[in-house]
Amino acid sequence: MLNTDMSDTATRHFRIAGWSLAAGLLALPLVAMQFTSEVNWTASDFLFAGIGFAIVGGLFELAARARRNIAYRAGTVLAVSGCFLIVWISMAVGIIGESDDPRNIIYFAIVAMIATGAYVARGSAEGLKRTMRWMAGFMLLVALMHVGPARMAVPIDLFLSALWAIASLLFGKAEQRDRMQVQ
Amino acid sequence: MGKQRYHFATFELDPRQRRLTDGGAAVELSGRYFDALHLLVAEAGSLVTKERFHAEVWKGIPVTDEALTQCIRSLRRALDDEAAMPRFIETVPKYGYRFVAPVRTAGMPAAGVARKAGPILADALAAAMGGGAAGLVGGALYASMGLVAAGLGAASTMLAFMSLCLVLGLLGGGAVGLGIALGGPTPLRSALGGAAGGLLIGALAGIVGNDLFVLLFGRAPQAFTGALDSAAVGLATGFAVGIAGRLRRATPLARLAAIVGIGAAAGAGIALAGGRLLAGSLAQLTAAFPESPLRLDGLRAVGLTVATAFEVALFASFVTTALLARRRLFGPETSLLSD
Repeated sequence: MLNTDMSDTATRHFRIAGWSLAAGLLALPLVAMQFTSEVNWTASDFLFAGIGFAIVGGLFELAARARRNIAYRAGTVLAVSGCFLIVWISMAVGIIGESDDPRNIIYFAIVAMIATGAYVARGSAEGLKRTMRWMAGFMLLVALMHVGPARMAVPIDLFLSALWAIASLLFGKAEQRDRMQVQ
Repeated sequence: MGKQRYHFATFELDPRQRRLTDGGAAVELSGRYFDALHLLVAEAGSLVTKERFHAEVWKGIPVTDEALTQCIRSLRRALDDEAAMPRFIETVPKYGYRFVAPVRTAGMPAAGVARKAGPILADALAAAMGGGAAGLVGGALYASMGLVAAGLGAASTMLAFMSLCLVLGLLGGGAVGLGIALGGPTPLRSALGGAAGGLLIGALAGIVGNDLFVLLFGRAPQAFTGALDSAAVGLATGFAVGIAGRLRRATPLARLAAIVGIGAAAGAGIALAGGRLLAGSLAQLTAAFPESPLRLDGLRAVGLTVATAFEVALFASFVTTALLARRRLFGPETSLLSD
């Protein structure tokens, strides 16, 4: 698309939508607990979920402050949501084996690598594009490693690889936009 | 200016009939405003000066610049465009205006299959990713709320469950997305397309699933998600895509509420009609195979109607968001990888 900047109105609407959604999701188990004893969240569960949403929302806000460009913001949403999913699934069920299985560490390492890449990139679209491209490749390696011993994790690995690839594509678009503005 | 028809985004401009349509529905434009839009579209990509508007639209009748400004404002309203973030008409301050969206003409031979295959595949891929994400999120929600749990000594059960959710979401999203993209932009056509995609994947999954079970275990659980169930999911999702596409002026939250509402209503309907989606199929499965390590006590307590409504709402909202985001980011006419 030729023009990919988000208006202030749209930004405000998305901000309202995002934080309302987070509040709604946090309320979901609370509501479910009223109906069934099988759902049984403790105060610390809610605290962890709340911290998780706050980090995700905070990173979205940071990206929104860095660029008005939609591709840049969408790339951030994909990258951050993917990381959130990884941490969430690892904590809830453990991607490989139980959640305390040492082989799960690879997934936390992936999140750490993305965080490091994003920090080094200092928000530059080009740096983020390269980080996500490397991670898409690395994720394919992880999938290959999991063929056999942990083959049930392979679909998840491949899905994450595709997610990182799309994020890098979006940051690439944002990079083009940045260049256009410099010229 | 030629007399051939022009296409941009979901619009068609037909100079011969002096008609502008959006996904088949007529858009009202007065005579001069139509001429101004025709001029802009015919010169798509290049600057059209104020002088040209005065000469070609007002044919030299002396009018102020305010008349032109008013005309552009009306055109933007008709196209649902924003001056601050133009999808169609960009202001070139002090000089004039430029039409910035890609325009195709009906007579162009390239507007054939090859040109359309890219966007359709990109739509299907985006929908597959959306469906896959919905599967993972739904599975993780079931797991972390304790609705679906593994029995003792079954460490890999939950991973298998998550992968199953992901793969079902990917396949369902891809098939439904393909159907929606092939179906067309109006809510009805997109709903029918989605239903066809859902029907196809449901039938395939039913054959593979049931036959595999019979082959491996000598018997199959009575009823997995059937072709009709997944067709209903596709119908609801396609309808949601069509409606969300129409609600361009609504806030994201209002749009999401509409999509979730459509999905939840369809899901409740499916469950009440005796259909089964993920929760229903799992319940059947564990009933048929009591030795299965999956524990669904929580899910039973919540009730299959609520769970099924939740599943369709989740699937429809993720697939719709992914599809519309893809079209918005990469343009409805471009494929994912081209520019």
